[in-house]
Amino acid sequence: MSRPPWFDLRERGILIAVALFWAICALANPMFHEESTYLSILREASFVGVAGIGMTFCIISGDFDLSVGSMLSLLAIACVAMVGHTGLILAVVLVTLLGAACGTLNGALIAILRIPAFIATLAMYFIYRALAYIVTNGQPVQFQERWFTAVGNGNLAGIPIPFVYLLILTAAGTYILRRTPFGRQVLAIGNSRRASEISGIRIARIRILIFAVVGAFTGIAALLISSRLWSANSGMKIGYEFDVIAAVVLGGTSLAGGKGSVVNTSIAAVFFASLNTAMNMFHVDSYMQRVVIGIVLLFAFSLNGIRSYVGERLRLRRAARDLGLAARRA
Amino acid sequence: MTQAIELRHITKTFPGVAALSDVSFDVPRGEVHAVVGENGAGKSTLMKILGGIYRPDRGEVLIDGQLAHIRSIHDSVAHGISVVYQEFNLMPELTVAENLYAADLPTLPWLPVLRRRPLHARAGALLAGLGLDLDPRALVKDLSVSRRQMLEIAKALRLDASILIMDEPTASLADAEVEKLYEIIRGLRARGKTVLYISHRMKEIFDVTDRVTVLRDGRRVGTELTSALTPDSVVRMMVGREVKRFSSEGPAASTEEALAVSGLTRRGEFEDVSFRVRKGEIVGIAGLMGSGREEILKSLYGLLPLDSGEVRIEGREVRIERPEDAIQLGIGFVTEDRKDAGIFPLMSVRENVSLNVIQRIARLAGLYVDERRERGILAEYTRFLNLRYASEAQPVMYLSGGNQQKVLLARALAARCKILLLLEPTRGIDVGAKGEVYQLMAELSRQGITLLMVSSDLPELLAVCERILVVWQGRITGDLVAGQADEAAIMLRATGTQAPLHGDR
Amino acid sequence: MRGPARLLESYFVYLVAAVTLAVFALLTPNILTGANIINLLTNAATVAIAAAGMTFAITAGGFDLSIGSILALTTCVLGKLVPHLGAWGAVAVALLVGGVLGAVNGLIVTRLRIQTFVATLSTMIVYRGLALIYTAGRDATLYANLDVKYFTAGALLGVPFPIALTLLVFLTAYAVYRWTPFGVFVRGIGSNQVAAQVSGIPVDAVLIGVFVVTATTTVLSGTLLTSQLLTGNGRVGLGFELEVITATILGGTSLSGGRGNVWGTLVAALLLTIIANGLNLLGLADPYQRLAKGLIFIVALALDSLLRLLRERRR
Repeated sequence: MSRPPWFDLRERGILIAVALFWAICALANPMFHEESTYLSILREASFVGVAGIGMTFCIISGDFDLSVGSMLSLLAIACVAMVGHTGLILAVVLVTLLGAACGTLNGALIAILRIPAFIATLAMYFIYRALAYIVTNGQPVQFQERWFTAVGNGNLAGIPIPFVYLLILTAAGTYILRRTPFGRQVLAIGNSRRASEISGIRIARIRILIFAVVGAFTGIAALLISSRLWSANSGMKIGYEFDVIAAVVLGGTSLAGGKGSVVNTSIAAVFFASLNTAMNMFHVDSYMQRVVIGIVLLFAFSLNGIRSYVGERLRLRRAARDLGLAARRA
Repeated sequence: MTQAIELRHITKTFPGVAALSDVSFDVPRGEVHAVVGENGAGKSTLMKILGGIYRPDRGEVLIDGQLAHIRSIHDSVAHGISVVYQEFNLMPELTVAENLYAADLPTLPWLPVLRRRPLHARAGALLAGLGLDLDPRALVKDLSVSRRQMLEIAKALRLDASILIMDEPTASLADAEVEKLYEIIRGLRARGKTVLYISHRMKEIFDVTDRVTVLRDGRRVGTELTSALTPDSVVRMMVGREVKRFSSEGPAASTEEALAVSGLTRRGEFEDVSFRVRKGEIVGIAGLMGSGREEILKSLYGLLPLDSGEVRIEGREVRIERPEDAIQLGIGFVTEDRKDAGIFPLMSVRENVSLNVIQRIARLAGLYVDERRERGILAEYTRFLNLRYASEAQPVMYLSGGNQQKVLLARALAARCKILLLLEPTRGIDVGAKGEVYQLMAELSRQGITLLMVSSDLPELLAVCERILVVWQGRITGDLVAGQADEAAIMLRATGTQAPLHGDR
Repeated sequence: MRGPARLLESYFVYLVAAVTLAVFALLTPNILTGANIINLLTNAATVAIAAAGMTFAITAGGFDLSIGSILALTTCVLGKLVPHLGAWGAVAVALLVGGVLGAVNGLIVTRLRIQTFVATLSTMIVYRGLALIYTAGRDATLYANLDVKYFTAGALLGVPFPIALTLLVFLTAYAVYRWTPFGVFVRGIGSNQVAAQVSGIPVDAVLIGVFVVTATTTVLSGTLLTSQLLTGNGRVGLGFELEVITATILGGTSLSGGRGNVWGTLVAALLLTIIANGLNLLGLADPYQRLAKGLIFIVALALDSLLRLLRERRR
């Protein structure tokens, strides 16, 4: 009797928001009649969405990672530096592993030294940037291999390659969250640390693993972005962590932890990409864009509270009704 | 005589649940009035309506004959009502005096600068007047739990309210302090104050109250003079049916040893604890709050590290350093803190039940959770425990307390445990569900599972267990056969009044 | 848990500051010359003053991450308005703007029920956006404005103005923390917000007040900074919140709320400046200094949680 959640529109409010937003834009601006506009939105969404998948795990477990922007800069520099020597496959593997290593470091600070996650990662935010600056001396690094630009800029059967990555990784992320013991343990930790401890979950280990996952997904995002930009530097993508967290939160993952959806995070990333594209098309001043993003973020955060309030009430009513039915049947 | 409180047709509905329906009763001035009922009977809702936290959907409240519109805590206070809630509402980093008068700190007339001397004088006078030995300058975080509870009560009394509502005020008090509380309540009655007293404990109701109102399923069942009632008749009103008292016939005693511990010590909590438990035996652990009784079981489960001692399971020495080890060794654990350390509220019933064995039931090198096997486990325990839920995907937070408790049992049992450690297994669940839990424990014992339970409810221990270990100040002071012991025998040892019976050490 | 742990917790920062100073005094003898000491204190002022405000926010169990942006906005407001209103008039306007932005933070936290951390994370973006829009992303340079220079180069009763202002702010902060109902409320809310509510403390008003305090102290910091830079710019103060939070926590204000240490904050701000100054004198390049600051932050946090663990162990 439980229907698969991805068809359940009550859990997919964000999908409706995207559709509505596109409909409004299409009415107001003929650019939104072009297929290429949407393809470009999907491409841009992927650069945030990929890291958002990792961040979804983190926020579900009740933590935060503010260092992803700086980590991305460092990883992109590493990626650009090595891609000429390693080729694509090995570069993907190495940058993912390097990201996981950075994430493990974050996780260790948090789970072993017991520093609150958002503060520890705020510190790492500065450390990774400083490292990025030190290794490049503040200069941008570029790659010479033209084939590598295809990863971020190319299409596969008409679909932007980054979006292909996003689709595959969203599926993988959903599988990990819903169908592996690790995913269950992530949810369990987000629901109740103390109950998780009693269930024999090694909380510190799982938390470190979660930050490693964040790092790994950030690594793939770094690969895509550096290819897209043809270069990397220590000042790139400042504020990226906000975009990522905003997508996760707008996707309905509870800031209090315990539940969330990878698919919704990816859809929310598409929403933000649409918003950015629309603001550019309507010639919104770039500083004003920041203000708008900040306000949407605030809206998302408060929506989270309001929705969970309304949602709980609705669900409570539904549960009571179901229970009544079950009792009558018995 | 004027009525201090008159409740007229109070109705309060939460989505899908009628918490109170058409409840009316009066409490005359100067009366100590007990409100009793099972969990979910509506007592707390009623108190919260009087305290200004909830507003009733229908009905009215009259205070001293006047219609009262209580919309906020503030309104409630303005009507002379003061509430001692169950949860602690103290600020640990502030002093006793600052906690007492947080809303009403004395300042200089022309500058918002604190005047500490009058503050301490006022607090000191209040505490002395209540016979409480508390220093107004002490930080609350340095106080013991029972002293905090007394401070909580003092806080409710500071306003000289004419109506005092106490929600299970003795939950964390020692006996001497309960006596002190009785004194305070009697003093209030003598001064014409009205007290609404909510408690689960029959003894207190009969010790200190004048009349009793019984609620069941949000309705008032009756209001009687306490002197006209007996504990049995109160329980009958609460549940509306005869409760079958659980008899502990017990299975034929096995001689196989399931668990033996010797010299268990955790400094500051318990010391040199030794006992043996036979297979299928149900052993109770009795003791006052803070005696170390929970800590012993938590250490056995690997939640608290031991300083020294030896644990043997079926004769084999084992080391338990974390819960994971305990689960591997066939030990299950059910917490007393169901809400915060038991359930995973937002996860489904199915996910809650399978979590302890999630690694074991995974396929493909631990990379795939087989939902069919999960459903199998859930189906098995749904049948065995008579678990009720709307669907397997229902978040566990929406189940009743009794069903949540069964989910915890199912989770521990799913790991095929041989020894089950239970803390307060029937706390906060209704009488009907309690009976079911007792039956289950007997059934598990028949299947050869060994049970160790800590309970504050002595009649429960005497009814359910075969043997009762008594703990006092971290040491075992008694090892009693339940059939030959009574509450007095346990209390004598739990308070250190009588030396241990068995001089086997 | 009286005894060594609590003592260590209260005085730890003083010990560290003394040791650090001694080490740097050995490594670089000119750190202890009179001119350098004045220099140290002056440099510490910007972080210290905002940290005095932050001490209240963290004691109340919250955070204010938007202060870096408020700092930037302050430099912009002063850069734009000093030529028209004069230095004091412009500072008055900046204080007003800061107060309003702080109140907005407070209203978002109390009315929308968003955690302080994420709420101020959002306004951090918005406020910086406002600063950039206001100056159109350009510098608002103040050429040789003598009034503004007073805030760095001037003296009050013979004490250099930044040092005098720091002392004034900290004396006030200590008095408010220790001797006013507001101070009691802040500590009460930080140690148990629900209890504070039930006890009749006006929680929402106090929280709004706390954010106004962090914002206005930041405006004072921004005034000193503008006076040094003689320019307003929307990109100033990236990471300022981190330095300020570091100083506050290093100073002994507990992240778990309820317990602040005003003088500890001041000493910690000095300590950070001594370290920066020492690293400078040792000839370390800027990115390495930033790296060092991040690492010091981590160490401060690790110590904070270590002490917390110690305390829990005692229970």
